[in-house]
Amino acid sequence: MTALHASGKPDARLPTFNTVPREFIRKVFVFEEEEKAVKVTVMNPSFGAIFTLIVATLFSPGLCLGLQMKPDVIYASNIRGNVYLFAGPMANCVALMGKDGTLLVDSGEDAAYAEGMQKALNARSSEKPRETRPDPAVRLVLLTHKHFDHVGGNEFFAKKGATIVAQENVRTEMLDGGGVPSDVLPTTSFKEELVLHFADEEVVLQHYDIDGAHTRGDTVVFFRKANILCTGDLFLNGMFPHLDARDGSNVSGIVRSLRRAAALINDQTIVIPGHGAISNKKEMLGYAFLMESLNNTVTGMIDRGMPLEKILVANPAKEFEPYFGTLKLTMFGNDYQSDPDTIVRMIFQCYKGGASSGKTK
Amino acid sequence: MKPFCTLRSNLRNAFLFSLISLALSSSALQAEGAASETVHLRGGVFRLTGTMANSTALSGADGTLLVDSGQNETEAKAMLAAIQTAGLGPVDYLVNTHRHYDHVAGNAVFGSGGAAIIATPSVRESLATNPILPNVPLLPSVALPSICFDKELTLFFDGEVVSLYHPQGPAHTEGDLVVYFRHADVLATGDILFWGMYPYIDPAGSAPGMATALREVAAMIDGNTIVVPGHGPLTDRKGLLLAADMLEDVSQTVARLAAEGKTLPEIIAAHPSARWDEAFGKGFMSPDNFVQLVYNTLPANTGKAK
Repeated sequence: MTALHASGKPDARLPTFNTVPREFIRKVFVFEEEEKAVKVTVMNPSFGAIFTLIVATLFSPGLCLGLQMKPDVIYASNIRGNVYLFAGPMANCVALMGKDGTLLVDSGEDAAYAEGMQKALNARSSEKPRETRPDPAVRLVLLTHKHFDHVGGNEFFAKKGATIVAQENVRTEMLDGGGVPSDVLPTTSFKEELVLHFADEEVVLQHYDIDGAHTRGDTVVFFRKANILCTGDLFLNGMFPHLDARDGSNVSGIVRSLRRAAALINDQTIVIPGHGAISNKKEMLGYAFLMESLNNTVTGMIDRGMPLEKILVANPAKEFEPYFGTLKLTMFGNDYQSDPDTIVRMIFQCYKGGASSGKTK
Repeated sequence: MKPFCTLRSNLRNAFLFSLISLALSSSALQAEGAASETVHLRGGVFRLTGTMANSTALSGADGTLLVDSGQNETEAKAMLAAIQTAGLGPVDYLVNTHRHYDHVAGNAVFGSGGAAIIATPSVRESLATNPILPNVPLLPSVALPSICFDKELTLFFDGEVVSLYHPQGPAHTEGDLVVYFRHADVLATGDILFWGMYPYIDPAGSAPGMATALREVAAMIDGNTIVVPGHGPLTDRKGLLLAADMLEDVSQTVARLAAEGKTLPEIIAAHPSARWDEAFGKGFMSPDNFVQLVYNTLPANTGKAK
């Protein structure tokens, strides 16, 4: 099992429910006003959503991701209907169990974790009465994107006969990495939409034809009957977005994708983010809104010719720190951070890196 | 989920289906007793004989992918036997090119054997709600497509790259797809192409729509591509484009005559398809019936009961 080193903890000084600083919300807007962006009228109706978001993130396991799970205990939580969540030490994986087999959204970080998930599925199956017992064998693995913490179990499940499904850019991007064993690659690739009928469920996969979001192949997976949406890393509950210029990342693509995905769902939908605690439509849209504000602020500074050093000194993401900036963990020797400096650096690099990373309107 | 056109008139369809069945069952296309054989085309791709509609199979280390399941379970079982006799792997995927009974009636045979069935969303919608022929029961759920894609799906199977593509429609129906085996360079068109005969056109489709779809698909292939039509003998890109020319020419002539105020009998009497009858008029569909179909599926006439 992979060793996780989480140096961040929930901060004891974080404001509680009653003391969420109103100026947090206000300052976001003041920032906008300072940028001469006329956004205030649009923002006012969203106060409730933002407030919910803030409160929710205070209690979010996303804040202490990597501390919550003992890696050797992998548990399948029943979310709704026959859908189960693996709230992993890294990515969230989701399983849909039926009598003809099991469908998995993302395969986890490595073979050991995949094997753990399979054991948890077997246990879930055997606790059901014989006549309604689902088949825990994984037949389909749907990938939300190409990153290793979502595809690491591909080989484990493919060798047992699972078909791996992803948006067509995911296969291309994984092949670009070079030296990838064929068992790891998706064998069924779609362009914009795919609908699977599996275990009495209608599973809708959508990729929004947007020039890069978290990656170039992000897919949301919607279980229509169970009313559960898996966002992949388009939505990281309690964390800033993770951007990488090499992946074509940009915040405006993430925001637009989340708004398109919101059209699929309603207030009863359970939203499962790529990382962090389960959530809902309001929080997902609140996240999109906050990240849009931050992105517009930072890209506005870049457009005015401010160098990175000066932007870092201005610290435009500072106000977000208590809610999105307490995570630092090391996975496979790489540091993953969610903090005000890191998100500003990421936006800067990706905005400089591609012409597509424009402001959202 | 996209809206789809239900069968507009069961009576008309019953007539047309029986017309196709009668015409094709008396032709050499359908061997009585439904024996089937695999004929190797190129790469891992085979053609199956003895069925009313053309079925194509890809076989290799991963198993078998079959395109279209026959007009009844007898044909499906014959194809399954042929696949087993040839030593090809189990059928893991079945693709339905569209919803017509002669392409989907054997779905349950393969579905219950563990094949995942792939089609466009409107095909599933139609098969789940409408009987494939008048007065027959709905297909069981195991016969319904479980993988439905909107525009394009790529399968990496048996070392082959299989592109499933939904050309702009409505064409032959509202939910047609073509299957292109890229490495073997073989294209299975489904019924947007009938070769050596005038085609049937579903009430939801149209002749110009079929021509547009054929031209779109022609851009995917080249002169070396083996083209397997939905019905009729193998052809190539030239044949596919000739069929597009024919569809465009006949539909334009019929539309012009209709715009001049001619009635259907007058249009038929004018023989608007005369120059194409040598190449297309000797199949199950007579030139007069074809002209009537083209007339019925003109945009101006699709709402009228015939």
